[in-house]
Amino acid sequence: MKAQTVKDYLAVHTWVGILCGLVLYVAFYAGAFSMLEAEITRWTQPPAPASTAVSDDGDALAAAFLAANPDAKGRVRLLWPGADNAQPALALLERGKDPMWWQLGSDGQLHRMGSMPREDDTSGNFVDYLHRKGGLPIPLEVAEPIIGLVSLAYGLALVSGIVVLLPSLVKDLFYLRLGANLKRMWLDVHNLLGVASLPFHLVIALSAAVFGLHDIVYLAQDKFIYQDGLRATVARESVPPPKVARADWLPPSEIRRRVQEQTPHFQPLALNYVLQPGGGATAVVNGSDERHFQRASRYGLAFVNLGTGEIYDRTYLPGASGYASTALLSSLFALHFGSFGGDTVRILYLLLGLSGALLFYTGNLLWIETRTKRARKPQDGPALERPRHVRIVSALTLGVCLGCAAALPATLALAHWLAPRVGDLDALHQGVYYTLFGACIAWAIWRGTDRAAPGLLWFTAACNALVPLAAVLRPGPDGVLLGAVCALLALFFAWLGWRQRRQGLQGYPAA
Amino acid sequence: MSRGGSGKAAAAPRHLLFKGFTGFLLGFPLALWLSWLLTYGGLLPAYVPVRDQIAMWLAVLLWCIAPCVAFLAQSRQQCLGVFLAANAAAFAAWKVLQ
Repeated sequence: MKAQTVKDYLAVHTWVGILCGLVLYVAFYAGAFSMLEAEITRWTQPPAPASTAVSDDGDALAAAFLAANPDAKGRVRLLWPGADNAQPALALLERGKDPMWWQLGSDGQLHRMGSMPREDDTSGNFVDYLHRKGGLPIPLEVAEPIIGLVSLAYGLALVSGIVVLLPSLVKDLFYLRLGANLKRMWLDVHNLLGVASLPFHLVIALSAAVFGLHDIVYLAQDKFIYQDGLRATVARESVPPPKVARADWLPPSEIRRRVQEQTPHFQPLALNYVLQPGGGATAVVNGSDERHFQRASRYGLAFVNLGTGEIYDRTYLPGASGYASTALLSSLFALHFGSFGGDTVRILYLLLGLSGALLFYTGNLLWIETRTKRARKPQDGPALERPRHVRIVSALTLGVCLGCAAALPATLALAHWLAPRVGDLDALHQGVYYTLFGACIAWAIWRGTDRAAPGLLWFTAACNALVPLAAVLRPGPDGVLLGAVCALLALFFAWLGWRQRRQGLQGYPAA
Repeated sequence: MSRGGSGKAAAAPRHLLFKGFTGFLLGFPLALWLSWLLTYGGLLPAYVPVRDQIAMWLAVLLWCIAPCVAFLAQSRQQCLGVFLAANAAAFAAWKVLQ
């Protein structure tokens, strides 16, 4: 490849990285925490214990709800008892409306549930949204296409980075030059992180672009590509659902039993009745089988005949479809969500998420170092000169990266204590996170990178330490992994703060 | 965007912003047509579950690739010309195979 072409790709890599790096940093940092989404929700909002006032009969609950709401539209989800709910619960999920949760009282009456947190009002959901919005304080519907475009740019940055690195790949890959030459050191770290986790980054870039842009692509395909429209095209290759009269529906427990007979490793979690106009319905069982790639973020789907319990469509049943296309699709979803292989893969994904955040951080450091003029003579000391725009990017990098790393655990620790006392947990999360995040950025810009760095590092360490502290003060199984991760991060940031202080005393600038 | 290097050749503008936007904008319809050709154009078996979703994923992948290759063009004219020709060819193939 021509030297000029490589130079072009280097320029593209640099500018795309500097424009998108900080959004991607927040998306990856929060994405790492989102691997613990379910534990985080249970840690801040523990599920209500089983009550004698509530019936354990899921069949009776579904029957009572369907009898009381014969004209219900949308999706009715029956949750079987599990980690998030000790007793059966049922929700009516209608498009554009908040879900309503119900339980059956021991008196045989339906009762609205107060203890089931709204899906969009949980700590886990806050972390997930922060990840999906890349930390942008705007509604999800607006943020997702933006993140989709950022992901396209992220793909471009990956490809251009590889093009730049190719000529010296073998020579430089494992050559980690830690030392006084900061630019060389950050370049080596950046290259090693990028190449070592390249397959992960390629999958994440593609899947994140799809998640953010699929509405736009489907719309364009519907209008301009599929002559019969998208709906008719999809219907041509879909398995038609069997028609079963409501009187012939099997009770949910029997459906569950028959599904487990057909797929012993598939652990049913919930039964969804997708109610059609005119009284018909299709049944979808959500269930988990982490030995295989799963279609949804944490589970696979079995389409079930309501009259016989037979799985009539195995398209999204983990490891059971028998088609390369569905296996490919499930693998792309599962490789984004890390929803296979159990806790080992989740922890690996957590580490990959944090290393991804570090990749963007080192990319920015590299940009800053390249534009920092150092004193040429050793006797002049470690003096440096940074143009104004470099000082701004430097302060933003410090403020955003440490702001996110501090505000996220702080808001979780606070929610752990305050969740039972606040009506709107999401408002608490938003308020605390963006206040701390904004304050860190403002502090970094006001004080400048060198003077703000030590204080911000110690502050970040303290915020992370709040989580293990809270987990120790009120122990429970759901806080163990989160507490351990935050304790390690607290030690890491404290070590950086201590190192920074030592270097500061010697007159060296913040890196 | 970039004017690195020295000498006459390096002083010539590289038009990276133009090439990037050309790849991004003209890459979108090209990706839609190509993804249809690859999934519905007769290469795959008659019955492929979730074919529509594969086509959508493929469209995004191809859309992502378009700006990546745009910087290989030696000039703005070459970049624009190649993308327009590719779009025209893909559109013609899509029309013929309907």
